[in-house]
Amino acid sequence: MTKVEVRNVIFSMQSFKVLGPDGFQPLFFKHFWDVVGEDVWKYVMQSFSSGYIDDKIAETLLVLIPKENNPTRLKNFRPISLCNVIFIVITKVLVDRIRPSLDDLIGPFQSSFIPGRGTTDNAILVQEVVHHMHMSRSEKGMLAFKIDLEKAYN
Amino acid sequence: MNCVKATYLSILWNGAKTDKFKPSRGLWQGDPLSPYLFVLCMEKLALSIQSKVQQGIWRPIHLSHKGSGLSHFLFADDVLLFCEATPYQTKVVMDTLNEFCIASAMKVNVLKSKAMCSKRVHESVKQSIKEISFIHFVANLEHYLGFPLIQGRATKDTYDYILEKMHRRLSTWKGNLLNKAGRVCLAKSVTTTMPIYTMQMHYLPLNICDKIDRVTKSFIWGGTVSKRKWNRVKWSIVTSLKKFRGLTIREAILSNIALLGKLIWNLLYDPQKLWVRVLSHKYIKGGDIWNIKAKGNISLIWRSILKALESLRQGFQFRIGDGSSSF
Repeated sequence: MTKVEVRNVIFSMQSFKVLGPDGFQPLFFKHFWDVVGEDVWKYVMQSFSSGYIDDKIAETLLVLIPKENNPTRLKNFRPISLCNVIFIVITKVLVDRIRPSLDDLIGPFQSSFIPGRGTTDNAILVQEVVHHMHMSRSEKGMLAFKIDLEKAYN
Repeated sequence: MNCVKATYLSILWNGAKTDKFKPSRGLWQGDPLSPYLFVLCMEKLALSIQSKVQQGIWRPIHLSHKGSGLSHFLFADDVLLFCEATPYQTKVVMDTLNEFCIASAMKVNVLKSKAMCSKRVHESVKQSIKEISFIHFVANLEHYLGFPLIQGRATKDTYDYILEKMHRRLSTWKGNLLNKAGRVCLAKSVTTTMPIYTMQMHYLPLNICDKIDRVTKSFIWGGTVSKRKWNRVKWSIVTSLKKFRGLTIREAILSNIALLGKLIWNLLYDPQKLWVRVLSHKYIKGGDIWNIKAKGNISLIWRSILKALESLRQGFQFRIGDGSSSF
């Protein structure tokens, strides 16, 4: 991994977005890149080679944002997690490596989060199928399921 | 793996931190990596469906004779599955889903899931399908990813929701308090964003385009959506560029054509895309896209594309190439 890769990740973040438990925003790293850059790069390298991250770095703040006016259940909250910039850098380096190969990895029927594919791709086809089903006169019927997946807690 | 597991969470509650705890399941919400991990997990479902299709157990839907079979569409956690309407096929679908659910600790929410079948399917078959899947039948699926799913022809009412949304955003207190520059800004942000999502694949009826323009017009001039006021400048000047003393408000129909132009671009230059392959196979059939006539029961999307093509036709011209490509 190169220092440029790490630098690109940090400079692609928005300056005031991530405020983790350590209180350093991306702006800090951008502004003082000449001073801290070397150390950040070394830490990221080290965590990749050892496969271990310090607990302090991995700490995350969870903020519960209410979805409704008078939330009464845990379901009414949307959790937003704030993590340290260093931690995001580590995962984002991984993401940047994965992204280019996703198009080959994922089959053509999945279009979320993949560069070069969009919502319209799927929506056009689904519209087409629904139209086809509506127009079909054949005895051999067609069936569509819209499945709602949720996490199972058991 | 350590990267996924290593986090400690503490909740900010009433301004103070709670004790640290370690999450034991699920993907971590703030991680830039999470969506990709999720997609990779869902790919497992796609693969198991695909292998069943290849073995001939799962019988997908074919849009055209000898066209490729369509069995599943996944968009994040939104799953759409297609098969033939028989009890046996339903069982195959349910078995596949159960397998995936056990492996991934996900669950199918039966109450929120829907099923739909084509018209000729007998009531008794429907009943037995429902007994196997526990999923209730609906007459139409209504929306998919925010686009209305239209069966047959689109009517005027189909797109009324766009106007309704615009009205809701514009007819608040804001209009009365803002000066004209502010109103122009708000109108621009509302009219250029709200209908655009639908316009990406639907050619809105002229009537709706007109109404969208009219709402914009009366909001800019009068501050309200419903009351009519006199325009002091010709509308064609308002919609022109700033350097021609306009306000660069986009006319609805023009932005619609421009957006559909993107689909046409894909159709011509991106033959690898799945929808391009399927639609070309169904409608173009190796012919020439420029000579295609709208005929018979064509779908709304294709009708939209053809209409936009008609308007854009003048913009295309033949260019002499070196013969390496056909276009």
